[in-house]
Amino acid sequence: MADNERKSQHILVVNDTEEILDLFRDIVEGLGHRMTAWSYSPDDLAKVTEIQPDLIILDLMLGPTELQGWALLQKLRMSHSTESIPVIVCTAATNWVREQEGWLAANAVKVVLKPFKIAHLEHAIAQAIDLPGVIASGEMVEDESADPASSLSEPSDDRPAATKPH
Amino acid sequence: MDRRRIEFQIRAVVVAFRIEQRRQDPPTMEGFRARAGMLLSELEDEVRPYPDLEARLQEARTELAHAERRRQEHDPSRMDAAPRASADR
Repeated sequence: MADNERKSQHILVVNDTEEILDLFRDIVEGLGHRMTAWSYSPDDLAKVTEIQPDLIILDLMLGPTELQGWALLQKLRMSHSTESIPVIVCTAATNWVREQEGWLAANAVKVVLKPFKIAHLEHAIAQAIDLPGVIASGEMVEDESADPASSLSEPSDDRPAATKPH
Repeated sequence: MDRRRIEFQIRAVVVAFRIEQRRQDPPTMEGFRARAGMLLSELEDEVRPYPDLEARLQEARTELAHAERRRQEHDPSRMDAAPRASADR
């Protein structure tokens, strides 16, 4: 589907840094989508279902204990009301992501590692919104400049996404 | 890449870098710094038509370089490297 034909979607971004929320708003709204920004992790998932996002983008490291994003992600996937909402984790916590690789893949969570290429984030958003089923295999988006020690597959051309083997 | 995307890209690197600096998680920062530097380097040709963005890119690279220098100065594993370097002079 061409970008200009894509229906505007509602994207919830959860991140405790105002500058990141501002950046995401510019990117998301630039893509023609609507964005709700939360600088906190909600205690009650009812708040998420209330606003009915088509996609959630969150950081794993969130809040005073820095684990609230991870806790929120787990809750989102454990609840029937939110389990099918596509989620993109946008984080710099590379080691954490590798440790949870299996869980993330099993729960259809896409990962965009910081620092990210804008094109990669846009691609991840488009994929999550247009083809939510496709990310059910679990993917990690990592740019060509990613950690050379990484054992994850990296794109061989400018395509932003690399699907990890199961 | 158009102007707007170049601007987003510089912001994406700088903002994320500052946050991770504050978190001061050395294992995360190690790879992060390298990736951030590479992403900024990739913009060198792209910013040429835009002097203001060229300046912003330079500021971003300087910020990263200063942070790296500060890190090296405070890295205990490099403590014995400095005396040797000065002795060579």
